[in-house]
Amino acid sequence: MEAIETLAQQEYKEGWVTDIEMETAPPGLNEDIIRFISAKKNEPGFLLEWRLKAYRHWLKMKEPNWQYMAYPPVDYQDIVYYAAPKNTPQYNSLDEVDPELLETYDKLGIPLEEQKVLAGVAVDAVFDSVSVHTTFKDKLAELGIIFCSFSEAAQDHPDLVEKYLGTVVPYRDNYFASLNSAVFSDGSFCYIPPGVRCPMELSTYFRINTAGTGQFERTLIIADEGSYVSYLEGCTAPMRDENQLHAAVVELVALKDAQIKYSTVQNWYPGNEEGKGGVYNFVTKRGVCKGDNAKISWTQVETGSAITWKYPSVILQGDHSIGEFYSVALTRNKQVADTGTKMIHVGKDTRSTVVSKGISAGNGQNVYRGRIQVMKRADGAKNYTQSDTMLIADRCGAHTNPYIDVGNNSASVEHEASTARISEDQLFYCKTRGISTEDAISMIINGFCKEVFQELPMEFAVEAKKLLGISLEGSVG
Amino acid sequence: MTEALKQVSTDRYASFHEAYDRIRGREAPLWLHRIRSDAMKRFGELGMPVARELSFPLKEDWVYTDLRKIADTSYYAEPVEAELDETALAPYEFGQNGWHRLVFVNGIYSSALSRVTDLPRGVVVSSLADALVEHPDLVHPHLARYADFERTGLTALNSALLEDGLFVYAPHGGILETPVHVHYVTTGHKTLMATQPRTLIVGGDGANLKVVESYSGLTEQSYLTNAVTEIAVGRDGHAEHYRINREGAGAAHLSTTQLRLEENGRISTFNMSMGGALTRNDTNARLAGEHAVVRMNGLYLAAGDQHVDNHTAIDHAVPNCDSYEVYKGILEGRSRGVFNGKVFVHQDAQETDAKQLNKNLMLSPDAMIHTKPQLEIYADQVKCTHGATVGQLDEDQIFYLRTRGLSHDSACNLLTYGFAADLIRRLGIDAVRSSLDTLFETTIRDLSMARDQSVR
Amino acid sequence: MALLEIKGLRGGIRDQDIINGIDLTINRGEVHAIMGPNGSGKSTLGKILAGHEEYAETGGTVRFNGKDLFELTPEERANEGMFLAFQYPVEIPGVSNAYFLRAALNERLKYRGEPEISAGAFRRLLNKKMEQVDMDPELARRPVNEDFSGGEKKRNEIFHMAVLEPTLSILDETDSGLDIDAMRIVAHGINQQRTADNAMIVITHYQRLLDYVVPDYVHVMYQGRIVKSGMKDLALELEEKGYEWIREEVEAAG
Repeated sequence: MEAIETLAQQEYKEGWVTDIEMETAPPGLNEDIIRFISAKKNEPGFLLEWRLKAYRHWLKMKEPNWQYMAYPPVDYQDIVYYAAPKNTPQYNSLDEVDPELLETYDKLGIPLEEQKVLAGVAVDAVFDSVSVHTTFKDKLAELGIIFCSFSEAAQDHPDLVEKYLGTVVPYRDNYFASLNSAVFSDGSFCYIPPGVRCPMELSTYFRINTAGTGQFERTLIIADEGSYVSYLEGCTAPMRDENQLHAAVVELVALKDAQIKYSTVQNWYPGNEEGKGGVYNFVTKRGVCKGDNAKISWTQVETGSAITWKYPSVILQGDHSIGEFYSVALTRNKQVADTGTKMIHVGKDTRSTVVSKGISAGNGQNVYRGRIQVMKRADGAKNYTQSDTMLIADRCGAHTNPYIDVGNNSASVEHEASTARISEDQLFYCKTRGISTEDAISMIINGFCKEVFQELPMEFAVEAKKLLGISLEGSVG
Repeated sequence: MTEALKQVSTDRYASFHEAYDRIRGREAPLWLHRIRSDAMKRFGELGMPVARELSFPLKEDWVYTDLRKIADTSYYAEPVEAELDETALAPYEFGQNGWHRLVFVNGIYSSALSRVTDLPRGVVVSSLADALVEHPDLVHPHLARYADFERTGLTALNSALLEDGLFVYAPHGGILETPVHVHYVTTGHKTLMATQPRTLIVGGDGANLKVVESYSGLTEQSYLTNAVTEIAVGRDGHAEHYRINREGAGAAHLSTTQLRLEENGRISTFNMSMGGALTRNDTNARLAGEHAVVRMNGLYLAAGDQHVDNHTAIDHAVPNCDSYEVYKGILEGRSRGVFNGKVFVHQDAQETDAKQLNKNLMLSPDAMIHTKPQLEIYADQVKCTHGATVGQLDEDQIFYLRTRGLSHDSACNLLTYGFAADLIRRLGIDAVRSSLDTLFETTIRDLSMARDQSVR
Repeated sequence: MALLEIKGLRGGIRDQDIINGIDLTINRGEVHAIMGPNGSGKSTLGKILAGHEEYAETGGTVRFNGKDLFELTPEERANEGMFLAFQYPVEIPGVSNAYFLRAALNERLKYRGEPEISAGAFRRLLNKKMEQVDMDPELARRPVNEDFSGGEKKRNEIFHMAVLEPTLSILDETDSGLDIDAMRIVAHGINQQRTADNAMIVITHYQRLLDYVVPDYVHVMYQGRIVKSGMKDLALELEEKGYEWIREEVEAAG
């Protein structure tokens, strides 16, 4: 224990979590602000140039209008694009924290120490996540794994960043990706060297640190030949966030024989019952299986945000490469989740699997939007897609928009979709066995989502299940 | 849209405007004048749907089928008289002499080739032009009431230039046992002809009707068919409808079929596309009364450079209705297939049961398919499923057939035939079933022979 | 001349030999049972003989009717008189059983240079054969194997066999998934077709089918070889002792 303490303090002194001076840029977006951000972060020249190119391109773009749900216009000149770590309220003890929030933490089974950090209570260094973090960081370094903040990577590994940044999601990709490219704040960078199997779920232990990464997060993960990594993003704990607009970008690169497993649990503030105050989560996530036999697997559980647009995709470029997408999206109140995936089959004998489970309660709108594209040369491509929706109220909506484009006759593509509800018979059956309606529903929903939960790393899955139960509380009449 | 573009689009459709001026000069009931003029005005605003000129969400419906070339073509929109011999029609018949038959040659009704035999009391089977004179009271409440010309340019164009077509009417309890075959034929007597066939089929409460709509081309030349069909049945009404497209190799076939069902009504429609260079069918159903059931099936076979696009929309507006939809496509050569099936379940449409399936068989490495089965559901007590598959012939099935002695080619042909026959054998009229069955079998065999020759 | 003569056959799936050297001669009028534990290569043998494209021979020779079997396509083998009754019969949607069988029969007649069968003659033949194998006429009208129960599919295989009148039938686990009544019916159908001119290979895991279809010879396969051959009593011995002693014998020997 003493050792950890010492180590923690040491590391802290050296500032792995950099003690950035409190400094905030004025609101607004222009080239000067971008130069300011880049300078503050001490970025190499190419990165500033790239940001500026993205910004100039963004200026020429129009905000998309194809979606189901309109959102109030965002004033891009009213956003603060650079701020030092957010000034979360500091409490002296948990007693001062909103009891409702604590109750939720308890239900999720979050350890007390972590609860404190999440709620913004000052934590002593004994069990500081930073120390835990650092211990593992050393272990990873031994294997040659680079896992650090994006800002650090830009300084310490500029060659890798320059080589891969924007290769999967170019800065011109879409409105929000361009904006992100211009102003991204920070995020994670991860590089797994050839043949290395990352021994732990990355970021399992960093739940706390990933909080507060800001509005414009940027993640880049590179799995070199024959390597493997499982990456966990997000946080099952509810996050109070003042930011309305979140436009993150995640890029994954899997080289020959490499595998990336990327799991997300997203539980941002969905707004109140009227949907007011919730987060707009407009994310661009994409991976490329660059080499033969590469594999990228996305798993997501989406229960938060007022509006979510998110289509984690895979470009299957290498022969025999595999793309997977497993998703649970829950909407209630006035939430909108417009999510799905794009699987682009370029290489031969590529395979993709899509399993999407939408749960719609209250006035929620749940949209599956996906595209399966088989290019002309993608001989033997195979896709199987299943998109199921469960409806739990008569004022909710479920929409399925699968696009299938096939230009190769040796391809096989199958799409199945169904919509159903929990039947009175099922509930009655449960009741006669002494199970309450709420438990029965949560049981049935968990069964409905089983195929997706199976894909999540164990402890994440446990939390995700609980989260679903909590999110549904009170939404069943 | 800028002024300059507007100018182009008026020039673009000059011949349609001229045809409209000619038709407007004719004597007609005021209400019909109104339909034509409103529709023409609307067409002036909308023009033909050309994806790059549209914005979301209309654009979505036309991204895979580009009508720009058609919109830019100056078609000949005046009637073209042509003599046609009975024998020219023989290959397109269903071998049933007793059927009511109406033939339109280049959009003009041919009384010589048409025949309507004994009809039950109150039932009307006639050309639409005749019906407008003899039964305006029966036509007026229904014409242009179901196919909404405010929404699409193609329906607007057809409604503006509406002159003739088929009219079938069965009153309350009227049962028309004998099927009606309406045959719209285009000959090669003039290049770039455009016709606007209009079909109106109305059944009162408890009525029962069977109609086959054929579109045939006796020419390889380019021409345009822009057809609109409206079918409405009352409570407990029943209609069986078949649409067979055997247009000529150079044809552009655009069609809109609008179905409307009242309480406990039943409509089955089957849409077969084989002909034409470009085909686009919009088949829409509105389930407006409870316990109505619509069956919407289709089959498309495309080879060479053919392009075939089927868009369907089923609108569950009220509770307790069922819809069943199966579309199957076979794609050969460099053909391109498009399917977009939408099922819309309104908030109050509880206890809806909707099933939709689109299956595609790709027989050539150069063929292409875009399929999009769509569900939009706003009610919770519903059972909706949809599915789409794209694939080729199954190797296990081929092997099984070969162990029974069939050659590789015969096995492939038999499986291709089976893929389609699965739908054909469910057709309700024996004569239609057996003739389409034969037609399909021979077409598949011909295609496979053509493929072999091209390989050698 | 033997109907089927297998010498030193080796082969399998995807570069992996499952059959490791088989010698077997079958004459007209004989029924040979091939038994063996799961994974011993029984079904693979059937598939190689019938010409499944995923399976390939890697050594040895097989002569069927005096011809080199591997020079023949699957359909030529069928038209030469070979018939494989599938363990898992394939569904052919949209194609009725009757239509299908007529197409198959006509291919056979064409192969022999004989005229096609008329619709009337075919119907009579079908009725006769349905009666012979106790087949529900409804199943002849329905698409091949589509929505058939497991038992119906197996009976349909025997029905195909009856119509096509093969000289060599390979029955691949035709008894699997059948209850005792269904098996009796299937066995009866098979026995109806035993003549002095044709031969059968009955591939089975269990002895019980052989109570009804009594074989002339029994062969036991293990690890891709025939490790023991005998008369019908061998099947009874296997039933009693299981396959373990075979395994022990092979291992002791080798």
